[in-house]
Amino acid sequence: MKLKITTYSHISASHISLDGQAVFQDLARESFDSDAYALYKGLGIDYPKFYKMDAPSKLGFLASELLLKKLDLKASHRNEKLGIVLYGAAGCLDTDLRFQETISDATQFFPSPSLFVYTLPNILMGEICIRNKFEGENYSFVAEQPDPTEMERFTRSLFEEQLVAACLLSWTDFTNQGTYASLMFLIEKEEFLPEGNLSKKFSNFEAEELQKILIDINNAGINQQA
Amino acid sequence: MVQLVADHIISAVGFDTFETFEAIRLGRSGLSVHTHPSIGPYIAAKINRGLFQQHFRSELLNLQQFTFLEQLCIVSIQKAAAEANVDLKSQDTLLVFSSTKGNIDLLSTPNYDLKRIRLGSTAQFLGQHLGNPNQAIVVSNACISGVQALVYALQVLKLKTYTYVIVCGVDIISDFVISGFHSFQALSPSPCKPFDLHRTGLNIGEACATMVLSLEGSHPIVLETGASANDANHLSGPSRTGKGLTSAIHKVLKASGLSAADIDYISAHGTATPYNDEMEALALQATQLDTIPINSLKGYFGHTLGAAGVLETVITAQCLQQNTYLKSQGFEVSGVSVPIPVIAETTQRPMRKALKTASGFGGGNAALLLSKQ
Repeated sequence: MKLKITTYSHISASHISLDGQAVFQDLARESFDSDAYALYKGLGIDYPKFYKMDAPSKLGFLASELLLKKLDLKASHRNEKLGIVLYGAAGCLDTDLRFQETISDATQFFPSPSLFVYTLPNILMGEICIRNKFEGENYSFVAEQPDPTEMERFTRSLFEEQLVAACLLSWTDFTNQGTYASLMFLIEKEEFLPEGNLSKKFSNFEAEELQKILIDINNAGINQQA
Repeated sequence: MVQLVADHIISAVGFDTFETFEAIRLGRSGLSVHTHPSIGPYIAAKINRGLFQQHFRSELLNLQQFTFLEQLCIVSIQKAAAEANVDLKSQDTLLVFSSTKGNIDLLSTPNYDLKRIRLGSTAQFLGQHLGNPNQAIVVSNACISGVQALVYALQVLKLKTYTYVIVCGVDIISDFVISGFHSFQALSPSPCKPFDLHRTGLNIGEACATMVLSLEGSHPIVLETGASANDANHLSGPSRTGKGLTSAIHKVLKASGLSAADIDYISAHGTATPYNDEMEALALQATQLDTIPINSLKGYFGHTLGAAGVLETVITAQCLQQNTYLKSQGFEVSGVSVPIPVIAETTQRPMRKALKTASGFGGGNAALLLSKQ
């Protein structure tokens, strides 16, 4: 089965890009919170729920908005065929620590449901599903490092089982305000790609391609810091 | 066909599958009253730590440096693997974990190691100790994790990369989780009553359940197919129409070539919150499964979160093998708008096909079909 990477986005503390091209290079790069807000505005998003999200969810949400901005998935796909597969390492640990602060002192015990709901690694996926009406398969895995072979293999299996026709695949990892990264791919069956678009070369969805992009991104990050 | 080779449970009512199943067959529930430092009394199904240490004292001799959660996993996986005659050190064996919060209870202890709380790190740590050479997989998708871990195992076994996949679902009770569900006002002050008119919320439970799956051999219980779907509606409440669960169940029926009438029993998610149970009933109606005998096991075990999908599937497998329809603990009078036949008394009757369902925070829903050959 021929699968293609239709498009991919990357957001990290040092680098923001779409299909490997740097974008939003004028962001202040002070903290995640301020950059996230600037990116939200820069993308012209109007979605008040954004303000309630925790940092990992904002990160994944923005990566998906960047990637999906010029696309109209609903034109080619039914909602129940839109899937999402998420991988991450730290998960929601930053949010866990914030929630723990609200309960660790018995004299200042104020757990809030709006914070607790984010103390799960999959919630950012839920936010993306709600925003874009992704009603298909949705998986959330945790691993210390991204494994391109496994990521490709599993995502491909969803296509081969006819469970999805388009799927977001992401490595999203938020550690703290200065250390975070979201790499997000849109994978589609070849037949759904726009015809005659010679200016755009769609990469094959293969483990080697994922690995190459991961390496390119790491290198770009290092160069930025230098 | 993917078969269940062996399984193991450590729960509030038993330290292996047999003991656990016998307890609930006789109507014993693991729910009892406990006290939270700030919330006060709450109902939960806790594993008795002292009895656990005693029961597994020889296995735990060399495991004192591990957390309670890690000890549960190591013991359960080793027991299940031994029963299945599976070599944990072989590259033909893959470990798949399912957990929502892992070692989250460490956050309440002084000088904890943050790395210990990272689920990926916990899985690596366990895999290393068990001597398994493969990168362990961790599914963490709220309360549907367990069912999804089993569907993952189904999918990966078909590729024949591994001979055995060991799925281990685990979650432990912590101040963190109790406080969180309390903030949602989701906890019931009394033993939970799934699908009941007077249900007032859920009880939390803890458990570790392990299933050894393989394409090889000749074993009676088969995992046929599974699927998931997202409500894409709300983060913490189910869709009012049950759209996602309906979709997941439809996909399973379609993939298996079965019709609703072919299903003998449904092991529901049934958390006993007003919204969840109503949503499930609607989804069952939409998929024409609303005349199939159904129960929720949460009246025995509480809601064991990341362990639930695996624990409740092991129990469902036992029900299939023993042709036993277990009473839905806590149920007295129907309190959902669709008159689904919630099992009122434990009975014996042939059972060939069973469906396990699950729903969770983030809008996920999952369904898994089991059968007896």
